[in-house]
Amino acid sequence: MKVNGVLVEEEVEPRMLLSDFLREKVDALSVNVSCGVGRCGSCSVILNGKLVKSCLIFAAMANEGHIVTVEGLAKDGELHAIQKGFWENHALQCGFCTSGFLMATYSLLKKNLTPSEEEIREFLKGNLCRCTGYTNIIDAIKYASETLTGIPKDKLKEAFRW
Amino acid sequence: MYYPKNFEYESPNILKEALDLLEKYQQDAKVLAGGQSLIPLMKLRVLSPKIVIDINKLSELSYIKEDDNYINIGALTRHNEVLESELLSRYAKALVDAAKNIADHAIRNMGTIGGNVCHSDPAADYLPVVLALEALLLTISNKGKRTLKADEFLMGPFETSLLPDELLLEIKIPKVKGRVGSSFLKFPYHQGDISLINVATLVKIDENKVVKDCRIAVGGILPKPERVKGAEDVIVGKKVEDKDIVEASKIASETLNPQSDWMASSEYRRALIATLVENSLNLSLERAGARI
Repeated sequence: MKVNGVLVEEEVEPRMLLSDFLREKVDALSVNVSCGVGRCGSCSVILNGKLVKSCLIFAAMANEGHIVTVEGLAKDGELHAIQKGFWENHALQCGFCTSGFLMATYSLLKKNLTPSEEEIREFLKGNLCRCTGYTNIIDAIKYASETLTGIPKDKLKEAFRW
Repeated sequence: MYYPKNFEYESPNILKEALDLLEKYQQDAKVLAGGQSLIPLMKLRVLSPKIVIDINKLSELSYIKEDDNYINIGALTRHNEVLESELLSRYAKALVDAAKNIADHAIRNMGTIGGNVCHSDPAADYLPVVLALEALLLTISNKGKRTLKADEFLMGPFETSLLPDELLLEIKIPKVKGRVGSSFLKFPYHQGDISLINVATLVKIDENKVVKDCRIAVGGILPKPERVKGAEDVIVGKKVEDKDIVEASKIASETLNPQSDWMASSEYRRALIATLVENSLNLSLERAGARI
């Protein structure tokens, strides 16, 4: 499979979960596992262009697929607008859920660059923050949406290159 | 950390290969579609299949097509594809309503309609819909194909009449011609969670707004979702007034005998049945154009 554009080849047990594969074999430590049963969204990544929960997928199912994690967001040492949004709005406290929120936001904004607050809340239903930082998280997403709306088309394409 | 017991993994490239594997391994094999129910159950070791047959490469099982009489949905169609389908929006709004309310966006990207129906959790959201829309389920094995009515397919909690060597191929939703409306409503334990009660209804009216056909199906009850004939009869054959809808919902809540469990008491579920049947009938009538 490819992870953030880099080819990865490993032989693993069928039962190895994609979340563990990404952490242990690819060193993509942004992928956090919290609930382990698909409720909390901490382990969210993009698989073949779609947001998924990597704790509910066997690594073997992603064979030949392309995965994007938070490690793939920043480019040339500069944070992605979504990451900046979380930074500027203090949209995290302990940070454990943040990777999942970043990937869910990426997936949302790629599909709909200017979501309403209701659409944001509906889309992020599958991501839980137990520090309850939701208000700031929503502010962060609005900030990212506004920043990205203002940039030239080629930069926008670059921002959503995966 | 949860981890499943180890298993042998097969990922056939073509349908025939999958059917050969099912024929060979029978009960020892479990079919993996979206995996959003199967994988948690394997992680919790409720299920520990010896062989897992991953059918995700069988992209020919993912489609939504129409012919003269049916909308045909491939078993591997994801929930998000169901909810974005214009065809289903036109002919089977209740199914779109159900897809919209399943879990969250990421789960809906993986979970499949076929998997949901075959897993057959008594509270699964598609089940009352396939009953109310009188869907047919097309199965396949090396011995041939079978077409089953939804109520023949659904046997009980987590039990269907699918044989060990069979695969669900397609869900066929009959096109009901004329002025028709359908809808699905649920009351989840909390947002995105399992339904305490879910209801699907379909109403067909004639040009004088007299109801020609009415179907009411209720899920979230044991052993499996059911149609409520007594309540349907109240609605059919007349120009429906509010009191008829209230009467039908009362009959539904009195006829069915929902269970009590840690999430809700039987009485609470009865009250939900009455409310959801009433609201769903109103919505279906509105969609059929009875309120214009």
